Amino acid sequence: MLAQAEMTQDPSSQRPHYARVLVVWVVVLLALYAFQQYFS
Amino acid sequence: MHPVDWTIVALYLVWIVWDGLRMTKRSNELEGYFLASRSLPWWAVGLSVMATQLSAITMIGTTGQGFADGMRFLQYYYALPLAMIVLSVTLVPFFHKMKVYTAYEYLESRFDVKTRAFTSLLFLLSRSMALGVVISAPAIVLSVVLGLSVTNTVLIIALPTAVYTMFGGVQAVTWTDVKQVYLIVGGLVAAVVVLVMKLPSDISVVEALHLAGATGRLQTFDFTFDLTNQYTFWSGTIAAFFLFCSYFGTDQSQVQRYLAAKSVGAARSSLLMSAYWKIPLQALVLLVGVLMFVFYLFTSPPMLFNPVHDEALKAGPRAGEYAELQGEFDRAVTSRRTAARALGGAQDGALKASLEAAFLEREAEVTRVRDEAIGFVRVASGDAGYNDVNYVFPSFILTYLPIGLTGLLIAAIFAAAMSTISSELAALSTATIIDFYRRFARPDAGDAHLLRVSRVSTGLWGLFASGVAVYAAELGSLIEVVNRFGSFFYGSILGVFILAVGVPIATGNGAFIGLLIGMVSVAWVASATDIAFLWHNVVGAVVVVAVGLAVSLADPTSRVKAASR
Repeated sequence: MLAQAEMTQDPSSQRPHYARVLVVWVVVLLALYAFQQYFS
Repeated sequence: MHPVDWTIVALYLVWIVWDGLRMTKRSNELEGYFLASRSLPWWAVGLSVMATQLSAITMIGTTGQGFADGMRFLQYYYALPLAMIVLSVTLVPFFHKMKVYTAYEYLESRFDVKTRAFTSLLFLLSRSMALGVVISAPAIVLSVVLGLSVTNTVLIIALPTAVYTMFGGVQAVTWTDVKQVYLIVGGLVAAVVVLVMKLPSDISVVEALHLAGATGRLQTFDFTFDLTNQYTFWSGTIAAFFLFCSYFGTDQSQVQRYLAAKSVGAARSSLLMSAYWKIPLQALVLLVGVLMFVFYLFTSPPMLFNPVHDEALKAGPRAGEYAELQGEFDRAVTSRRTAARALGGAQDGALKASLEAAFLEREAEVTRVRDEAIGFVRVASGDAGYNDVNYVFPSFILTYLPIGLTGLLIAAIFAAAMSTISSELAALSTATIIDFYRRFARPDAGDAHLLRVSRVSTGLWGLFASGVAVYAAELGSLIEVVNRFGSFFYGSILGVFILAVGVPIATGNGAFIGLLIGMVSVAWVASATDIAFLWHNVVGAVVVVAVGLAVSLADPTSRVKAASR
């Protein structure tokens, strides 16, 4: 959802949301780890 | 392939060339041609950056890797979002402020002309050869599955791309990339849907993924610290961080994308798009491979996915042995299918554990027989590095996808190849004209002259890369040498940019000597140790910074000059 919002707005005049990138990164890695553990 | 599918592929080729050529009128001066007049929106640049990385090798090789080895390759990309943040904060504002055409141009204003020319030359050498491989690798596979000659396949891929890049410049590259990335992702999603629909009715998606998980194919984290293995969490987060900083921050094919963005903010946002989407996209590519593995548990796979080798071995001097092996393979596949069905429907408990052990034993037997068949190909063809997994996805597309979708997926593979080639051609031409022709041969040349020469240069690089692609088999060892040479330079050039941006007292001599010693150090590590390729980038960057700093400190006169810039 966050990434979709990122794609539909023009953020070029805004401050970059580095913290949001980091949060999404951690969530994606945790999701992948949970995926691995569930199916292995 | 059905005539309808051929028509779809032909329509795609015509449409993409037309779409690219439409941009010619917006590329009538040098900045328009090379940098789209620094006017592109962030989302177009972001999609173009992703399209450049999604090559046909990704579509063919990475899906094959997912089939044979699973998803552990995904770890390679874990550091990418971090690298994007660091580059957005550091190099991107520098490049935009300097209004440069190439990343290497900045090095002259910061250091000296020799550092700029040397790094640009290294880029031209390594990228031009690598571009030949980017064209030849899918061309060889597609020529087999489509029944065309390698030369014709190379021409079908490279010629239209060279034409629209030559006339439309970076405008054409970017806007065709946008359409191509939609086609590629759409094709991959369609492949996933078809694969799920083709599972047997008594096997759910969850059960199918459990079967893949039992073989270790869904392993996405390996916390072992092993410098010789590049598919671990630590390689993917520490060593790959250096690689991505170098690739996205100093490689002209990437830098040129975001230099074309209309502002620093747009350039940053385009990089952050990859930070969000690259890992999920790569997971999708690998998942296609994993689902093909599950699909072939219940549908008999060919022993060899390359039909040409299969037929040649059936008619060759070892036909008897090969037929015997085929019988062994068929029995192993049937036995594995029974074991997979039993495991798929099993509940947790001791019985499941024993069924899993039985399934893994049958799976190992299928792999063993397939490896033996691949050994036959290696002996017969004399190609010791032959890898049948590159044929898994194209073979699946042509055998099991419905008419129409087959054409769409083949067009998507073409799109993946073309999106990478166009960006590389534009980057090669920019470095040639800006860093060499305009800098040394014709510094006073007007815009119209440079534009003409730039178009010729793009066309010539297209011809050169096609030539390398056609003769890739004969040039094998030379290409390997040049690519190896290029890999020595990746981490090292990052070290030069770290000195340029982060070390105010660094001098031109320090950066240049550091670069040379960094490359020699990486060459030594590569030849004398088993340390995995990803870690070479760390070695290169660290050595360049250390040596560059030491030389700069030992050279007070130059240091004063550098600090005053």
